Amino acid sequence: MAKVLIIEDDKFLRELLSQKLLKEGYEVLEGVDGEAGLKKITEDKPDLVLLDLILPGKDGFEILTAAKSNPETANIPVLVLSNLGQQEEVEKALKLGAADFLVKAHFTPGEIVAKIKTIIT
Amino acid sequence: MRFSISLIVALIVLLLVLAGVLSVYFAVGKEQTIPLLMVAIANVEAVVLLVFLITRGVLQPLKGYMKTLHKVGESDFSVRMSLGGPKEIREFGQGLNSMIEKLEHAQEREKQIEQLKTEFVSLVAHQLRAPLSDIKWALDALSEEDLGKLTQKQRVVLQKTTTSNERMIRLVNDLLNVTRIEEGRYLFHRELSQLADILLVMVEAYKPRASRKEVELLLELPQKPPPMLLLDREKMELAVQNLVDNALKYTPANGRVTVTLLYDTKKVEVKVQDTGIGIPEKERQRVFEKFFRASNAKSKEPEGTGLGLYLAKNIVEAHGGAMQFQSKENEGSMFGFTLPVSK
Repeated sequence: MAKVLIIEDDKFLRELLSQKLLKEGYEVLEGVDGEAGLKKITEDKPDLVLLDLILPGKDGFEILTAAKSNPETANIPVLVLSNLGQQEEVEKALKLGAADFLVKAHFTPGEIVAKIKTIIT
Repeated sequence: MRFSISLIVALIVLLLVLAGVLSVYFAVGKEQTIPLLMVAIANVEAVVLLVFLITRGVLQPLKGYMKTLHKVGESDFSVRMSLGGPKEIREFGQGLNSMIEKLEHAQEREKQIEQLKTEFVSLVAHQLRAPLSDIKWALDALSEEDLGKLTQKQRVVLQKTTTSNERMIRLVNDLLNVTRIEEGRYLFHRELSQLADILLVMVEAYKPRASRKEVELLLELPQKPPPMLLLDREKMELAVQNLVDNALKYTPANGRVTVTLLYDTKKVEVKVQDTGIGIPEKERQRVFEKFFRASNAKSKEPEGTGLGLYLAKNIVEAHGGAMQFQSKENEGSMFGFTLPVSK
């Protein structure tokens, strides 16, 4: 069973997403802020990370940088999920190694799961 | 005219001297010309000296001022006149300096306003988008019956709410895009794409809305697809979306919207023809203006920002293309664009 880690500070969004993922048969891990999220990436080595950018403490860019510079976690695909979405931010995230950048307002949880399926099969 | 003032003055003096010598020669004869000429030369020397002093005292500092003003003209407001010459010239320089200082302050304020604007936009982006995403996801969870079975009535209400929410999301996106165009930060990432595919996707996406409105939405593609073009796919989708969205919005029930793709060796052409309310003749030249909405559009369809065509035009023109449109009030409009086929 594929493990998906959701790093998202908004409890409501986290629950909606994890519900959808559980229904699709994924194992779900949750990180409520930057520090906790990064810890889970290194300790639990999920198959995919859903990463919010604006987080309390360490922000999403820092987590992405840390995850990609650690050889043990560098290969874990990170799907950025954010309310940001200005071109500069998208480019920055992709440059740092994000698998894709999804603007939250443009994708439903169902569509996000569909995206996940194309990345981890 | 490239003569400097001092050269012109020197020429005039020379001419005057020559005229003087000749007139003296003809008036008094050869014998008396020489002593008179000596006096004249003394006078000329005085004049030359005077000209020299004026040139040094007035023209030199003015030349310096001109150089500085040239920089000011290029929006460099950090420069100042180096004051010199007689009192009047120095005062003139001081006056110019205080003007430049004011311009410098204005420039700084403008920069601050720009900065504020950028911060405001990202604030809007985050603060408005965040709740809209929450709503979108919640509505989706409800519609998907993740939170329990729905009655038919609930489903209808949910559908309406979802449509309104999607409209709000588009509005925020349009505003962000317009701000980026204004700031010159609307960047394009082109890759070889098939315009026919873009039309297919967009028309498919609008089918449900068209059938709810009882408007026929047709797509007419050529037998053989046109050549691939270098397009920013996401933005081109947005341009097409705006044309289809408008056509559907302003076409009443039982009407028809036809999206056509044509091409020849030079250009690819998209046309979105509707049987809608059209645009009054005297308002036609304003259709691509930002925030412009035709008077009949405003009265029939209160929702709309007047940003769609402005965005579409910017996107099409950034691809080297051109917008085109025809309209007849109460009969319909055709909005479309052509894109050049790169050789």
